Amino acid sequence: MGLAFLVPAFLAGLLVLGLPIWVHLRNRPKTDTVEFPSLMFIERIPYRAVQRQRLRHRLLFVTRSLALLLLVLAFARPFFGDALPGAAAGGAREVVLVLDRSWSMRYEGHWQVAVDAVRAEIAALRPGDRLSLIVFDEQAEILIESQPLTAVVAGLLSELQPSDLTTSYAAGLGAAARVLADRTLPASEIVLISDFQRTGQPEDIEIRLPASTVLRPVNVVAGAVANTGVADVGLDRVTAAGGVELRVTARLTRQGGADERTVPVLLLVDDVVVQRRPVTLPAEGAVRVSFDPVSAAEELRVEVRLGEDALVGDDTFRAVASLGASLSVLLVENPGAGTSNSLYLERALGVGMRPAFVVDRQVLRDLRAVDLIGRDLVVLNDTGAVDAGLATALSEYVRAGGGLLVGLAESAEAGPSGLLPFAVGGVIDRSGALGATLGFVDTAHPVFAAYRSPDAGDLSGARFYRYRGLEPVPQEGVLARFDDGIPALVHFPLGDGRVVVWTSSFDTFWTDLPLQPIFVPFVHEVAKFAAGYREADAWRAATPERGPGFYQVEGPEGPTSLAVNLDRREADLTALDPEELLASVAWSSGADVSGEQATEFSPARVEAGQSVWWYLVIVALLLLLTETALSNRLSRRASWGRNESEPPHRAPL
Amino acid sequence: MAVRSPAASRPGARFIDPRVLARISRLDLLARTVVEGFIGGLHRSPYRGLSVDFAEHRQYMPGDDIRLIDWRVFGRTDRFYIKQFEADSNSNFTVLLDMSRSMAFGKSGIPKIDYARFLAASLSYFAGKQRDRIGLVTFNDDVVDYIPPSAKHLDLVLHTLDRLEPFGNSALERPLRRVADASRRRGIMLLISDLYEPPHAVLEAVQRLGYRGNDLVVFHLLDRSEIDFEFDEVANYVDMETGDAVPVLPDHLRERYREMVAEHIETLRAELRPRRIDYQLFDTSEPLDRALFAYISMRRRLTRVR
Repeated sequence: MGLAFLVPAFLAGLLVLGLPIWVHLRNRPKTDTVEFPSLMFIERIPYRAVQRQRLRHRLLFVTRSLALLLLVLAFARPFFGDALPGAAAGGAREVVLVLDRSWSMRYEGHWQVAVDAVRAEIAALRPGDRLSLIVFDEQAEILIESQPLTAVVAGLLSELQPSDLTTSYAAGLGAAARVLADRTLPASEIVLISDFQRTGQPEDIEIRLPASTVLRPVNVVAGAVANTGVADVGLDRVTAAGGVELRVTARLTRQGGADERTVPVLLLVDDVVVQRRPVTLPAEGAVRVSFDPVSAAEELRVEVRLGEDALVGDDTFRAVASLGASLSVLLVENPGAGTSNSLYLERALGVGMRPAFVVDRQVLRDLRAVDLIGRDLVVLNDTGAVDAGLATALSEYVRAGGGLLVGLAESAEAGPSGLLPFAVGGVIDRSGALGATLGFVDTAHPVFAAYRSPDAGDLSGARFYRYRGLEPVPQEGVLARFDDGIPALVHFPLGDGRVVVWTSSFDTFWTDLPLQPIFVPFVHEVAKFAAGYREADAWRAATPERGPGFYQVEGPEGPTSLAVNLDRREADLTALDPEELLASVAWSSGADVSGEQATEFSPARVEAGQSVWWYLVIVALLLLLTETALSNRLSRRASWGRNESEPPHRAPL
Repeated sequence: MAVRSPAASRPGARFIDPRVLARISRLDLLARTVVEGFIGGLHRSPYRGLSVDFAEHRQYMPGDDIRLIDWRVFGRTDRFYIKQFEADSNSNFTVLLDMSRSMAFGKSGIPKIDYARFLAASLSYFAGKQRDRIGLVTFNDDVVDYIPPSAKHLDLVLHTLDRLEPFGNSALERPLRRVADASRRRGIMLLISDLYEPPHAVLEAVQRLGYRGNDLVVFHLLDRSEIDFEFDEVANYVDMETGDAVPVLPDHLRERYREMVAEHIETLRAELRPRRIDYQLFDTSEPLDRALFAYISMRRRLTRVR
């Protein structure tokens, strides 16, 4: 058991202890005697001047020196350095091995070092020790929980492999804390075996371990690490003369390099290398590389690949480019309508992406039943009266599941008769009083669900100068009303489809709604609702195996592909100082360790736990008390000797 | 280039260098060498004519010894004049020599006892040539040898000095009291000692010798190291007489020791001089001539009495 000192600088005080001894040795008689004619004068010189350098009372000297020695040692804060749990007075220990298996441990050689470290720790266990083995990434898995050494399954370690998840020390240490919460042995130790990535350090999660538990880090990283990877890939749809194209960009990162390096980057589309591009990477940093556009298709499997390096998990980034779902919209307008009648509506629909709206415009007089085939939504934008044949066709279209959005404005006095269960009323002019506003919005309905939160948009900001009433006034299916109670947006089902009626215009003649920020999402939501569009919400994995790659999933509209990549946070190999991790760990208060007091990791904690200095101070004080009594006694004796038995000029020898 | 001392530069000085004298085994030869070498050097000195020299004539007065009448002057002047001579007293000259153990010390030059031996022999020889009666007392804490003053005792004195071996502790009071008691005739008493006693004890002991009209001379004999304390050894310093030992750090007490020795010497000088006691401090590394000069000066002063 080695003795160490927390503040060894105080040991310099030992030099003071040696001073009287040095003076004595320096001044001690080098020869035995010198004959001198008479000591008459010498003996008259004050005795103490001669005697001061002599060690007359050796016991007193030893007592004083020992007291000072103990005080110096106490200030140096001694502790027994190897009194760590590994040797906790020879008692049995609860040892928890916490092994990092995040995918960064695939770095060349790290995993093998980690497994060897686990084997070494197991080999160092003594009879009586109990072992727990925990592997962790984002979650922790307890493989062995407080088992005697003999119960450790041989070959267990050889089956372990790094996972595809990221590091979370909180997960591993939390599991270790749970294991140790029920421990019965007096000493406990957690051995954290990891590559100590900074990304695994919890920022706001407190790691709390049982009191007196020692946390010992074992870093598998021996030297500098270097890594090159594809951080992310961007897919942009661009419109070209030949149609829609896809532009692929990738961000490449390099860490821990010595100098610039040029590497080939491959772009694969549907597993075929379509482009190869050399890229010069800096020693430390990132560059973005842009590939030439490729022809878009309904679904493309895109892959950006670098040459393999020490950490292979981030050398490939996969993505799926899909043009996505689209709704076919037929915008029907009055032949005499101005160019601005449907401008705002068409433009609003044109910017839709999920789904995309494919808008076709057509005047009412040219509309035929065949034009309705394949349409998800038909918009009658202030068309006025519709003849019976067309009305029948529209009705059948809606009953078959189509959507119909009707806008009632200047030309809609007659309205599409036969389609609506109510008649279109007269124009209500509110322009004299700064217009009307929407007084009621059914935010529970999907059309207005986006406006539930207070900061989602202000529907009341739009002004309506004119709108039409409905007779009789519908009571059901009203999604919005003006501030005078007149319905603004009404829907009703018809067969498998639905009809939505907007009682104002889609241009700026009757309202300023198209100028409001909420106009586009409003139009999108109304169109999706009228067309019966539904988000895919029932994905089912078609490929059961785990790991990065392309996955086939079954959606509501058939199978589609997904790309799965490893979390790029784990590719950041920036090291975390294990001491920093230790400093962030909190120990539970209270002596929940039975039996012998276990020691702790840091020297300060070990020293604080042992408090040897306290005993040294007590012993030093006792010695000083003894010295006081002893010196008083000797002083009295010396005083009696000088006054009673010795001549004043003749000091005793 | 060697530096010559003042003593070595004087004619005959080599004969009174104590280190040279130490090579002469016979004390009588040594004394004669010293004195004659010294006198030879004096031919060019202002100290001419000694005690047997003619002083002056004076007119005869009734009662004067007619043998002192200068008949040659009577023949030329037809008047009676008598001759007067200077100091032919034939006084007693007694050397009181301290032979305690401390006199054996000698670090800078020859041992103090040898220096004292040379001094005593030379001065005795010199006194013998003056026809003084020569005596010797050796003592430590009591009288060891006592040779009463006599004109025939020079050989005995030299022989006694030759065989001196220091021993015992020194204490002036007892031996000097016994010498004073035994003294029957006034004379010159020369005390040679290192005087390791408090000044008042020295004064008290020496004063007793002068009660019978003796002329007293005190030669304080010390080794240079006893004055300067040029010791380096940190050691137990042992008193050569008592055997007591004291651990000494020379560097720590040197200055204080010098002060105390200087104070001791100055006190002796200041206390003895007013009592008409000649006091001379001798360093054993010095030549003997200063001692002879001191003696002659004292002798001349005494013989001026007519």
